[in-house]
Parts: sequence; structure tokens; C-alpha cells
Amino acid sequence: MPEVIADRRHLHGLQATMLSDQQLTVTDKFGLRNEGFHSAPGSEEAEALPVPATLLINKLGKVVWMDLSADYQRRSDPSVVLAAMEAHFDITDD
Amino acid sequence: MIAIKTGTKIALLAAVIAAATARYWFYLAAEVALPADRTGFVIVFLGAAALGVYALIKRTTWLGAIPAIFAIVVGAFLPFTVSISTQIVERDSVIKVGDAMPQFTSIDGHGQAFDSLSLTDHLVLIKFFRAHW
Repeated sequence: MPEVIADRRHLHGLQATMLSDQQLTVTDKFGLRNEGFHSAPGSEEAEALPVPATLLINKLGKVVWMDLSADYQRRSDPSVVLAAMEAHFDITDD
Repeated sequence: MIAIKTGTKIALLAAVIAAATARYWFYLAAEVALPADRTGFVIVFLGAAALGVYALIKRTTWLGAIPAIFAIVVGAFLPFTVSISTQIVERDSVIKVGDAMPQFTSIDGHGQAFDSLSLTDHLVLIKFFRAHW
């Protein structure tokens, strides 16, 4: 929910754009809807949830790396994502 | 000197084990460091729950039943979340390396419209996540 994102943004210290996807329209475009059991906080009336995923997209708009978590209690380790960015992105040219 | 029933002592022990393990669990969750193999956690949580049940069997006062029930609830709930944490995606529709990123629109944290076309010519990292931890 947009207002929750704005409210809690400071907790994450994030500079990134955070988008809400309550209806899972973006999630479905990426095919990342979790078809298994899911648990949503009781206050959020989500019917389903996305699978935690991290994707790297190059300048041509192509997926160059991705990591799907098979388990919602686990996320991509930041060091793994950083290593993938170094391998797949030429940081100097952006 | 008030005599504390054995059941109450066991209940308090169970509650301390459940609370300390749960505290450590949520600390690891916040650090994104929960291990893939959580068998040890499950054993400790179920052990705390079993101790809670044992305390009730041994008889305690109504006050002593509070830590016992706390241990049972916490000790049973987190192993339950482990058992349902596996994710399933439909293999045919899931995006793959080499695919073009689908175009999408959404609303950002300021209520402004966002269009993925604005990402063209940029290196992009996209994260999908489901909660605030």
C-alpha cells in the first residue's frame, strides 16, 4: 500500500523507488505469484503474495541475472546480489 | 517462603527457552540471515512447547499456566511457519534470464504513477518482496 510504503520507508534507509503491487499485476507480469501456501499479515487483505525475487536488468531491458527464493523466510543474500551486479553490470558506464 | 510448584518451574523454563529462541529467530530474520536448514530451531521450539505441555500435566497454578501456554503457542507456531514456507511458482510463466523485462506501471511511495519505460537505458535492480522484514 502506497501510504504504508511512505510511512515505513525510513526504516529501510532506502534510496530506491518502492512500488506497491497489491493486485499482483506486476508480479504476474513477471510470473512471480506464489502458488503455494502463503502468510500475509492479518491487516493486509492479500489473496496471494509474490515469491521473493531479485532481478538485474541491463540497459537493453534484458534480464541478465535473477535469484528466486524457494522459501519466503529466505532472501537473496546482499553479498550474492553485489557479486552478481559486479559480474553483470559494467558499473563504470552508468 | 512460598513453595513454587514443580509445574510452574517447568513452565517458566519452557517460556524462557521459547522467548529467547524466538528473539534470536526474529533477529536473524531482520538480518536476512535465517539459515536454510532450520531443523535446530524447530527442535528447540518443539522442545519448549513439549515442556509447556509437561508443565500443565504436572499441574501448576493458573498463574503458572500463563508461561506454559506461552511456550506452547510460540513453540508450535514458528515450526508451523517453517513447514509452510516453501514457495511454488508456475514454471511456464516465470521470467527467465535472457527474457525482456515486461513493461509495467504502478504507484510509488509518494502516490505518483510509475512507468517502467522510465528505466530504459538504465541498469536496474528489481526486488520483489512481501513484507517489511
